[in-house]
Amino acid sequence: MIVNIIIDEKPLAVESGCTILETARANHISIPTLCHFDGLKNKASCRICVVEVEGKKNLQPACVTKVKEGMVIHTNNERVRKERKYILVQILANHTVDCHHCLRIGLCDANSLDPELCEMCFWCDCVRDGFCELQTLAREYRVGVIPDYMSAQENNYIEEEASLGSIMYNPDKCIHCRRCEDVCNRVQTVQNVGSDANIGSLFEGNCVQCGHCVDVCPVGAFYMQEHKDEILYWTHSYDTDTIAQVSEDIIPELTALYKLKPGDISMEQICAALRKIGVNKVISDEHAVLTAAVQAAKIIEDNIENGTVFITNSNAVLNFVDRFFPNLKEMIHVYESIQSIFGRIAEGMMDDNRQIETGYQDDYMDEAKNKIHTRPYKKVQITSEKEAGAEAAASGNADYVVNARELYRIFIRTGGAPARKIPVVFDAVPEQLEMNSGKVEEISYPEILGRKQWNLDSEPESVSVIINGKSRNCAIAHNLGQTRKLLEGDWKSYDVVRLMA
Amino acid sequence: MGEWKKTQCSFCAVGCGIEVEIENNKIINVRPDKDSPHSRGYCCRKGRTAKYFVDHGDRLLYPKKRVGDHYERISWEQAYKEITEKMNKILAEHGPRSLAFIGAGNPSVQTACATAIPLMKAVRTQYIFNAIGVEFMGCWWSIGRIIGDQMYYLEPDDKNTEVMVYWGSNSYVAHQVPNARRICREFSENPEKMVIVVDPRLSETARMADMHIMPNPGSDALFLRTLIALILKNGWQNQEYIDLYTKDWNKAKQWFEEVDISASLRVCGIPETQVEELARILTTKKWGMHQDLGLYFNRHSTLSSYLCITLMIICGMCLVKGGNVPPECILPRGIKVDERNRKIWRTPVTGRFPVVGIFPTGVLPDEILGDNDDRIRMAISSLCNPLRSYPDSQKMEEALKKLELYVAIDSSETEATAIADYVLPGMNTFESGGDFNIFTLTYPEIVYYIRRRVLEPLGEAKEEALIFAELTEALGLIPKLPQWMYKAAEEAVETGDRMRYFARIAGWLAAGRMRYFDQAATIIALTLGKAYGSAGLAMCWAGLITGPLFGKGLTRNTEKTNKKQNPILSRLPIFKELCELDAAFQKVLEHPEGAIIGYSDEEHLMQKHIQHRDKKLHMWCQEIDDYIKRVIPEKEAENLKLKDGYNMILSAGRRIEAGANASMRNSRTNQYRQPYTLAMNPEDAAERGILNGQVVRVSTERGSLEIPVEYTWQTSKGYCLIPHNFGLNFEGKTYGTHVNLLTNHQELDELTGNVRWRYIPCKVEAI
Repeated sequence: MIVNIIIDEKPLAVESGCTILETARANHISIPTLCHFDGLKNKASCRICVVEVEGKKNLQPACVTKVKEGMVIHTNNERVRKERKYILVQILANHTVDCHHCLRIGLCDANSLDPELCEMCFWCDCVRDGFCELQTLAREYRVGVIPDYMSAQENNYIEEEASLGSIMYNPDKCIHCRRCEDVCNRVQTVQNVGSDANIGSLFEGNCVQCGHCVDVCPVGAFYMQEHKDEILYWTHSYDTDTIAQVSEDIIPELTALYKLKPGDISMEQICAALRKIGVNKVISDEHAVLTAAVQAAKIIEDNIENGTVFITNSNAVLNFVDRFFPNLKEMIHVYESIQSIFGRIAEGMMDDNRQIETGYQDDYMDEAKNKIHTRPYKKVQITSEKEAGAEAAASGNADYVVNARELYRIFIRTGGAPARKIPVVFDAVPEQLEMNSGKVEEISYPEILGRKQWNLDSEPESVSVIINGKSRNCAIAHNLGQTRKLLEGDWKSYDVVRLMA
Repeated sequence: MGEWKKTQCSFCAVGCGIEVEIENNKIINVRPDKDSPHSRGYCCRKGRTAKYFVDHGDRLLYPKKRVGDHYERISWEQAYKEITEKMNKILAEHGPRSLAFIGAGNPSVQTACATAIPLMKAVRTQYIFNAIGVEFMGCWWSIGRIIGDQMYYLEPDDKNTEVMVYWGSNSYVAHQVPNARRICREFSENPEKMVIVVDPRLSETARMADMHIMPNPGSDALFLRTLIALILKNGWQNQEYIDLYTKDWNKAKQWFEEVDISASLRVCGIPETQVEELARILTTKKWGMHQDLGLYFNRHSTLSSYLCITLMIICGMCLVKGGNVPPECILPRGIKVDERNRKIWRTPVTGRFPVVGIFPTGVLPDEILGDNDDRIRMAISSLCNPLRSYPDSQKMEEALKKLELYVAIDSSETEATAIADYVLPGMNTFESGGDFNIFTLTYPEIVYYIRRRVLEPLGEAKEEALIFAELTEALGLIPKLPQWMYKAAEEAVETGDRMRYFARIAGWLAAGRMRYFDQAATIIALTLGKAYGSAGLAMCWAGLITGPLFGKGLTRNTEKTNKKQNPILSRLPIFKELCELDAAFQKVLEHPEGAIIGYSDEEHLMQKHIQHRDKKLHMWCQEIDDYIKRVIPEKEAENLKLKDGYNMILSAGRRIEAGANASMRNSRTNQYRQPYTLAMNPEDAAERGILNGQVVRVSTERGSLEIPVEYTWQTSKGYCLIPHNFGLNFEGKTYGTHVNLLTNHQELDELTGNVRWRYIPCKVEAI
């Protein structure tokens, strides 16, 4: 049914049943949001999206208010802007002081927060500085004064939750948007965050360490632990080498963080930037991806005639199965993760030049100055896979996992600026280390085994692929909710099931 | 909304152009000035926090004197009367060596030196101690030896060079060169350019590096010697340049023969392959080097600075476009002296000599506390805090307390004003009617700017330039000035014809009063200063027209103003250039953001800047010849070993984002942050069982303090750092402890007396 409304003096005939937010966005009218996330439930918890609806006393949250016949809506008048700014100030006043330090001590005003000026001052401490949804809105709405409610009471700060050593949670930065709750409980069906969660250490509950809470967090409450200076310490070190594997899945996010257009940053430029900051060897993850796919294809081909083949190489899926489907564990074929393959490649490549004399630091007077030392090295996995950090912490197959955000933060502190760099070719994986013995150059069954993105859908992807000469029904779970669905019985209609977190 | 006014920052020597928003005579906001010809919209956090340091409860508003254990407010007249009586008495009994000036020429109010130095000359004391005497002695002395003039130091020609070398410099955080972060970022990000950092630790600048060389702390001099030896051994030096422009190279060359390169580099802890790569870059590309405190405050500091210049020369990068260039001196950066001249004093107890007229600050306690008759018995300190900024606070306090007369001039209460006999309130640069900056660092543009009055002065505070001028007058060191002089000054201000006034003063001096020639600045401060309502502004004018630019013929862009300003005098040959400089002043008066008043002669840098008569770079000198022989790997390895139970090297003065100087006393800007920490490598700390944030005791041979530990990968193992400028009492509260409790005033560079703050053996213990 069509209803007639007026938004910002623009008469529109729109579908009924839509929210004001959906309607406005479909008509290129922008309304700011903070708790809203496309594909997740609207909780109207932040109220940043409030708009004025004529005839209503209070401002209405656009994300949950449905359009009705004859509605006259103002999305950006003074009252609305004032209210939004008030809300932002209230949120920031109850937020830790890691960002906008200048506004909190009354040093700066809203008109002097140009990023160039901020670099001249100092980098704010927050992991999301420069790409935080709250910070962006605060700047857009010219928040210039932030009262300090947090320090008013002693011991008001809550300690960070760092038990995993990968996914971190800082409750003082939480703005209670509840995106993480919806992702964890409804999309991933892990039920670890929010009122249903086990109280105690957040990560001791049902958490399977998929890391998607980090993906949706609008601020720096959920984040991946960083090791910026620690990594640079090793890349600069004389005694320790570093090897990095870069996955191309970081490019879209990295490009967006630099506010560039798609195509402005190439893999080879990232390689150049990593060399610049002192990484000794840089490889692309293509080889590892291919190797993993070869393993997976072989598992499928070897087992397909015996019934449904479950495959996964996801650490979080295995945690998930352990926790929720322990009896199905035996059924699942596990192939090697990209990171694990990287660990082996790194070992092979770095062993080559390990027998080098080192120990310059103190050994002038050292009797054993000519002794051959074993040259240590550090493995850095650069990927946007959110579960990689947890996997590394659990298995040690990489020393550091760096996501696009941390890579960006490293680059702005080191002059990495990949878009300006002259492309450099990756180090080749030596032939003797080729791990797909048949030297396969393309992924078999790309429909199943290609790079897949996590999504918010409740239904798994279903494809039909010819394997061993026969057409087979295959399912790909793009999140843990889909994985759950398949494991609970939907698998029965498929020949191959790929499980991802 | 307040009113925005343009001025210049005064919290460090760079002096960025800023705009300040004023409401009810208070600064409420600061932003960088996009119109500034020198900083072009750049300004670091120091300037932007100005409002916290200008108007507060610790401002000094009235003169006061110490009576027993408290202070009493007195009038200016009484202050001058009592101070000068005491000064004259001590001078009469003990001669000029009894008087020392401390400060006078800080990065804050600098016009003070314009009248303080004439006063020194009038009483014939040569003692002046300030921050230059802790850091720049070695570098400026070396420049003096090699190019023949201590006033010009070399900086990278950042517009034309390819490689930026930061030696012992955390420029990205220190902001001690114009546009520091912009330049560092551009050289780092631009694939055609390069950043090389020499620093034992992963500083914020080292993070930006394309090549990071990490010598063991304290081994820079040996490394420089080895680097030069390696270049020469391979024949990579620019022999053509050396043949054309140097003298005594064949003698100096011998310093680098028979250097055991491998053994030396082992002591330095640097792989030979990296040094070779570095040598190749330095001998094939255009490069400029910024040396800083990591080198100046280290072992063998003078030798290191000397060798840095030697390195520039053998690579053909000294005084050439795209290499290392001397930003023009607009105002004198000190007094021209050559310590080989017998008239130049040496300190009696410590045997030290001045560089650019300034004595090494570390010797102050020993020169005061000695029992020799010619010891220092009285001191006037001007806008500086010897108890926090100079080495060994305890010893310094003991010394200052022993003085028979100690006068402290400052705009705020400090630890020094708390022990002075007389405290005189000075204006800060926001209140002063005009203040200049002697550290002009732009190149090739010559930019002059005046820090203008943006706030009405508080209480009875006076400009320091005026205080010294009035003291000179009260001491009876200048004759009573005739009324016409005041009148001429008023006319000059009214009509803008300052040159006529100048000519009359010059004529008056020439008529049998040449003995007052050195007091000309004081006379101008008292007369033109009175007419301008600002002695500082009068000094900005006098300093410019009679400063080092005079006689150089570099003034440009001022013809129009000159024609209008000085239609007749500007045609006279003697006055022509003075008039041009006067016109430049006029231009700057009309442009509070500053103005480009000329350009360096980029094509004739050698001709213009080498002051030796033969116009050659003098490579050899006796002092270095004697000294360098000791800097060999065997001895250095022995001397770099930690002894006496000390287990780490402390760097006193980590450059931090919260960085400030001692005149920025309000710790409000540190709220929510904890910049007062001991930076320790996490592995180091863990080995000692020290947790992140745990309070530890750091002890040196001079003292100990307690401080929380900060785990950071920004430092190497065995090397820990504490920032300066904490432990300042502000409105009754003190945050942190001053690191100079740990430093030794006797650990000075042997050749020139720089302090050794970046290499202090220490013990770190959990408590």
